[in-house]
Amino acid sequence: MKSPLSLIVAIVSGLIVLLGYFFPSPAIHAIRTPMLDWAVTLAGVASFAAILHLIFGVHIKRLREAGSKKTFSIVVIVVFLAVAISGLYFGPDQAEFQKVVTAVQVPIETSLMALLAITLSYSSLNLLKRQRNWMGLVFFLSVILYLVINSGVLAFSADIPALQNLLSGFHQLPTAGARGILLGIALGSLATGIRILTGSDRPYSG
Amino acid sequence: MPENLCPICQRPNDANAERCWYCQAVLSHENEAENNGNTDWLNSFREDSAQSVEPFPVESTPEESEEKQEEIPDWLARIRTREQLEREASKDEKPKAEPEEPKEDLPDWLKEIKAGNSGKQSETVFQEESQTTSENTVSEEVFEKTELPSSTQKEQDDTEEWLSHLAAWRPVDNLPSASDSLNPFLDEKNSNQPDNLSDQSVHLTSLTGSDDTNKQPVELKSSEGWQIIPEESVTEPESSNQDGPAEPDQTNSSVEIEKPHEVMPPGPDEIAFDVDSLREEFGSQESFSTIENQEPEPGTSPFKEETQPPDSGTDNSLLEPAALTDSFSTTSESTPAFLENLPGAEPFLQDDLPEWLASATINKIDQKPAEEISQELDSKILDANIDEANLPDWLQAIRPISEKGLPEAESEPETSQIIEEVGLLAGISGTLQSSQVSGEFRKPVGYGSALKVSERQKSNANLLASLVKDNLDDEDVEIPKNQKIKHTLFRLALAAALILIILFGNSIMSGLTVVPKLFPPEVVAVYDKVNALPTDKPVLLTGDFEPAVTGELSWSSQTLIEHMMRRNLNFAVLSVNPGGDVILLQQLETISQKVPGYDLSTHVIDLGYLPGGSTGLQLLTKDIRSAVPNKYDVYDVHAAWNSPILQSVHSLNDFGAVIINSDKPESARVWVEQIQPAMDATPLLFVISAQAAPLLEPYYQSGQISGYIGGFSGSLAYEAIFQQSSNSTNHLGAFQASLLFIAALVFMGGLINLIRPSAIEHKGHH
Repeated sequence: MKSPLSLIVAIVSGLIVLLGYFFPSPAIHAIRTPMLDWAVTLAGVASFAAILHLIFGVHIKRLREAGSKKTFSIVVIVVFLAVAISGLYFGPDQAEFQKVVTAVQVPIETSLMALLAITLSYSSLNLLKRQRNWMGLVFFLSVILYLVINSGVLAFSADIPALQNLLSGFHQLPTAGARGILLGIALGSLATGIRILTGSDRPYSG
Repeated sequence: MPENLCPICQRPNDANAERCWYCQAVLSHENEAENNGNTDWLNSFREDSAQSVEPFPVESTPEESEEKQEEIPDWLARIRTREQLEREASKDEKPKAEPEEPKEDLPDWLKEIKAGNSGKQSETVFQEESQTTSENTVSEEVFEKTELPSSTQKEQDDTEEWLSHLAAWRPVDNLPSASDSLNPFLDEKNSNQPDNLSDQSVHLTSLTGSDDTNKQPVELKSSEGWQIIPEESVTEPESSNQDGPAEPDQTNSSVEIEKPHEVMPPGPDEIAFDVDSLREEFGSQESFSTIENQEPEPGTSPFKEETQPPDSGTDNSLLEPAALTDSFSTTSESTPAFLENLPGAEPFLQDDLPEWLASATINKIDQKPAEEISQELDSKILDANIDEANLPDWLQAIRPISEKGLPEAESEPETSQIIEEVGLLAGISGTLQSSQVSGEFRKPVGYGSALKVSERQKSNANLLASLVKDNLDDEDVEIPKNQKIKHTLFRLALAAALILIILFGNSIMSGLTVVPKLFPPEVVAVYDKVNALPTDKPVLLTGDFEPAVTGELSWSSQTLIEHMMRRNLNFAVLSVNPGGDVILLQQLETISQKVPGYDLSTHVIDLGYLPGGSTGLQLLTKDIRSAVPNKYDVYDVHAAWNSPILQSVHSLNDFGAVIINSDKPESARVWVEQIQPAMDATPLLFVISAQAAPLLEPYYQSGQISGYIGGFSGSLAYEAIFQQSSNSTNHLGAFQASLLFIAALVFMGGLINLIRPSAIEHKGHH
């Protein structure tokens, strides 16, 4: 066995948290709450370690390597240092500091989403180029149908009961698919949890 | 200090020394020999032999020995028969073979041998001892006692190796300990030859000179005549014998041999040895020795040969030199080693030759290297001469690969029978089909030693690789430059069209906008819940979204937040993303401007960032005050729970409602799973992106959430219910125009692709 201690800790921790769901006793709660606190603290430390790795393990290392593109690494390091120093100096709750951060972050990420929209639109042109089969045709028709339905142009169907029932049925189709997806996720999560609790799967072993 | 005289160089050595300091010969220890009946090296050999042949005990009772005698290979039987005849014929001509010492002087272990109790002698050292004895005096009685064991293949190999070493004999003057050369040949077969034993006792005594160095064996002088054999006759076999399994002391033995040989030249009384005659005689078994020294032919099973028991009767072709002589006559020249019918040419008296040697043959090895010889061998002839081995059951069971058990390779369809039906090769049979080639060859994937990959994972990875194979292959297709430019221009035109439609959609669709008349029930439920919220309880407004969807969620939640502000509700802002609470606070600030009299400083508390993901949410349900202990003001951090807004809050149930702004179905699912069970009557509401709304619908239908506003359509419905135009209503025209444009684009693209040849056919033509 590679690491029996980590295995024991994982199983015991999982069992304690799981028991807290079914038996909300104060004793289990007294153990469970500190454990969750530790987990939250560890998550914060992990994020900090990830940032340090990004700066020192990736970009500074790239600066030392000959022949690599250093421009963006320099930008990343400089911006990181600027934000970190300003945040430490002004505090993370300072209004101006928050506005600066969000004024940079929100447009950049929103523009990426806009690019995604255009990319998807262009890709939809080739929808039947590769999958010229039954499933491809069904997917093709579904895309068009739900684009039209969600646009709201079929609002006049409220005056036509048959069409309204038909559209209501179309609205239920995504729900059916979502249920299937959620059931699959639940079963997968259950199996994964059991595997971790029984030690069959050890994601913590690295 | 007692000294131990070397039996070879007659020089004194330390009593504890294992080997002679001068000539490195193995020294005998009388005490141990007396106690154990053998020497140390023999004991070690015996142990090794016992371990190696443990499942197949060499020891046997006389009855078993008789049975084994029936299993003696033919060649050995002939040797023995010949030896018997020679002994009887030359018995009177060999007076010097008489013992010089009385039998009473024999050591105990030798007496045991004479008494036929030497069955414990290990034969695993047969190879080494045959080499040492061939280099010195070897009594014919010694080899008369030796025989190939019939129980194990290892012993058979020893015998073959022994013959090979005989061919590799090199004359030396020094004599190893006689006990060294004698003991390995003592086996259980001796007990079956009581008649010969009485005669052998004399010669055995001569070989036990190590017990008393002053008592030189009578035959020692006669055996010295072997030392005049010129080296050129044996150098080749010696080198070829290196392929055989090396015994532990084989190297040492060679050292023992060569040193004295240089110091001590042959004496004048040495008997001349006719190498040519020996060469002729040994040549009859040349092929046999050659096979031993050769590398196994590809396609043949050396394992089969080695594991073939000698008693099987089917492997005689391996042991029968004559069976292979014809086949391999081109590789070597065979000459008889000893010509019995030519007394004039016989270099030795009959007594001088040991019986095994009189009937044995030796190889005259060609000057060709072994590899070259092996290449000249015809593997078919070799296979034809080698009978199939009859392996014992135990060996067959542990054999790693059974040739018979191997499933026959799946017979692939005869490509010659496949006739091309279409294309340029139509009508031609035996063409290579593309379906046979595709997917058959892949670059091997190395997973490294650190990554443990199971077979199932490998198969899944291969499946995934096959799924994306077409896409990856497409990247390899080189697109012409003008086509690249055309694609780029088309993308730019598409982006420009979308932007134009969004910008001018309202004006374009001003008269064509269709306002929804039906409201989704989940949106209506949200409206009802907000209307029913108590004003004395704050609302927990949480953010679990990326800044990229800020635009969508801000529009979707704008009317909802305004609705709550108008009801003068308090807010506690929390985020599970680092920047979510900041965005929410900015949104509140924006919306509050539309609500006169609503003061954020008195109605809003920022609980900040809750790390830990689902774990943090779990902590939030159990002890919210420990999970988010502080509130954040502009310049300071204070204890959040001392504020008037949160004084009455001790758990999530103390909030009027929990509203989550989310953009991912996974995060929404985590909230439902972790938060909802801890909430009794507090409504759980969602403002969610349109991409995640379908996955939230089942939770709403099951009652786990009280309602949700999904995307632009949801906010539009909420505005319609709230009867207040906001961003969604104002941009409905652009929204509908862009969606219809994309729908038309997809439809056109699909039609074109349906009409045009498929991509696969297109690639095939290229």
